[in-house]
Amino acid sequence: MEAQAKAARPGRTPLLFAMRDPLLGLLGVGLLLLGWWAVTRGDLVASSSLPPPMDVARGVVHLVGDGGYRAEILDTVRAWVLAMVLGVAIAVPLGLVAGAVAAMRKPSLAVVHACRAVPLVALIPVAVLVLGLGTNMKVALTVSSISWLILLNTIYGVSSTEPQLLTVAKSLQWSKVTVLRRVVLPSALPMIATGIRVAGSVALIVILSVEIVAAGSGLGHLIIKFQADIPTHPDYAYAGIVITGVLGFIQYTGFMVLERRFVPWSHANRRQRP
Amino acid sequence: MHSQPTTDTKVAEPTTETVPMLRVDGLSKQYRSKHGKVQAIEQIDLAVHPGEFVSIVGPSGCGKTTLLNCLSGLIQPTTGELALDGRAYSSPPEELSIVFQDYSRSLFPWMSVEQNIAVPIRDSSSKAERRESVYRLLAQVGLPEKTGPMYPWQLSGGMQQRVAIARALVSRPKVLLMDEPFASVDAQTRNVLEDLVLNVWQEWNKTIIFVTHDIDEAVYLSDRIVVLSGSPASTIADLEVPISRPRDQLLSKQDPRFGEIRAELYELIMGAHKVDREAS
Ligand SMILES: Nc1ncnc2c1ncn2[C@@H]1O[C@H](COP(=O)(O)OP(=O)(O)OP(=O)(O)O)[C@@H](O)[C@H]1O
Ligand SMILES: [Mg+2]
Repeated sequence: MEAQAKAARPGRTPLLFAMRDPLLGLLGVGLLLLGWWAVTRGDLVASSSLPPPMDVARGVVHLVGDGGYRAEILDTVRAWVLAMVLGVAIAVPLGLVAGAVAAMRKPSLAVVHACRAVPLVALIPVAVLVLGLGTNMKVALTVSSISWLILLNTIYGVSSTEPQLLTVAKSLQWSKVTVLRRVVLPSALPMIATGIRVAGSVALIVILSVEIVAAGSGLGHLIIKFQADIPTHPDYAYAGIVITGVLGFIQYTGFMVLERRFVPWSHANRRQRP
Repeated sequence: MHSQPTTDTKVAEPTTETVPMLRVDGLSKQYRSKHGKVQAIEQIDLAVHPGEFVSIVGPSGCGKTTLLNCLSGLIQPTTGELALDGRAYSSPPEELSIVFQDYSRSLFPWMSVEQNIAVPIRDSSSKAERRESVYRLLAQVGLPEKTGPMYPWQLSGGMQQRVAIARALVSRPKVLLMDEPFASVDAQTRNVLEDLVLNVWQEWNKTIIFVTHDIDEAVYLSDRIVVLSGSPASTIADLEVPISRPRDQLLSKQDPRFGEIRAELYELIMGAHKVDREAS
């Protein structure tokens, strides 16, 4: 009946509801571990190529417990945070302007798509030459690969503002700036948030790749060291990979929870208009 | 304060000396686009008196929305003069509010119901004033207080349209423009909302211009019905509805005059359709 609300939940979404997807994800991880354990038990692979889960778990504890190794992990995290902050600070304002000014939309989209097509590996030698092997180089490469993503999402978010809402704003005679602040920005937020969440995952991949290929520090550097330097430590190498997975999981879940909490309408709209 | 408009006297002598609440002279509208020019409105004159309830009906695509958008100041007419309470205007006046057809898209999804209703007065009132007005309006449009903090997308279509009506009323406008506001709600809800609009109109002494394609709805609600021709629109009839107020969904529709006006409108609109088809 018309007089009944479809959902009795007022306002913000409860935490447990927001955690539903991550919990399902954990279940998947559990199944994966089980399969892994079964494979190593059955002697299908040599333990030097794939150590059993318990050895790797011990490796994780060792890496996290050791101050020197922990510093490497934190180095990766720091690079990730820096890259995200810079990426958002650069791409969101640019995207807002490019999306809001109709004349700039098409040209900027063309530029973005062209730049996005440049593969990261092509930039690594230049970056190393200019910035060396440290955090700056990692951050620079990461920012240059995630900014496009955030920029694109921001432009699309801004340009897909509901025209009816712009009409409402017009009927209230709001100024251009007010419309941008009160209508365009909030309606673009869900897409911007999605862009940032995906960029978070991509950033981690990029940092790890760069660390494995070129850098002198970080989690990726550890992984390749344990795998290549004699005596090799496959359990530690795998432990590094597991830690990477955990970092990825934490950042993704964190963004999901933030999104459901601060841009709940994006999920609502997704439900209404599939 | 009972200001029940006595329709019959109004019918008898059109008020020539009072200033119309809304007046438009020689309105025409031509859209210019990549695909050429579209003449949406040929020529319309209209004067709506204070406290009057006027419906605009016409075949689909004839230019009703265009007319309403011109009246609201949202789009510029190609020719014609607009005046609200005697003052000319060319952009949306404050004394005028619009209820849009597509209520689900006209409410801000990131704002609670309470914030949505307060949108038109958020720059001109204190927080306490806003709360006061919002909760008075929630009661007026028949929404429970607990809907205040909810988001519009958590409400049913009919409830969303109530929110849209409350928002249109919050700035205490003199004139309400409504573009097929109940086109996408079910029949019962539609009747309930029609009575809601009539209540608001009578209690607050508003002037309402109501676009609809539903002939029964037009007859039931209005003092006067303006019939538009097929595209490009011009006025082909202007009918008084001499059915007594307050109206009642059952009794008023049994009034023999209801059937007569209904039939007359039906013929006019079908005729307009036919002309439209022959022309194209
Ligand atoms: N922005 C526009 N640009 C060009 N032509 C337009 C535009 N808006 C409307 N038209 C044309 O003007 C005519 C009238 O359209 P309008 O939307 O006012 O009709 P309507 O009577 O409201 O129709 P409906 O009953 O279907 O809502 C139509 O032929 C339409 O194609
Ligand atoms: Mg229309």
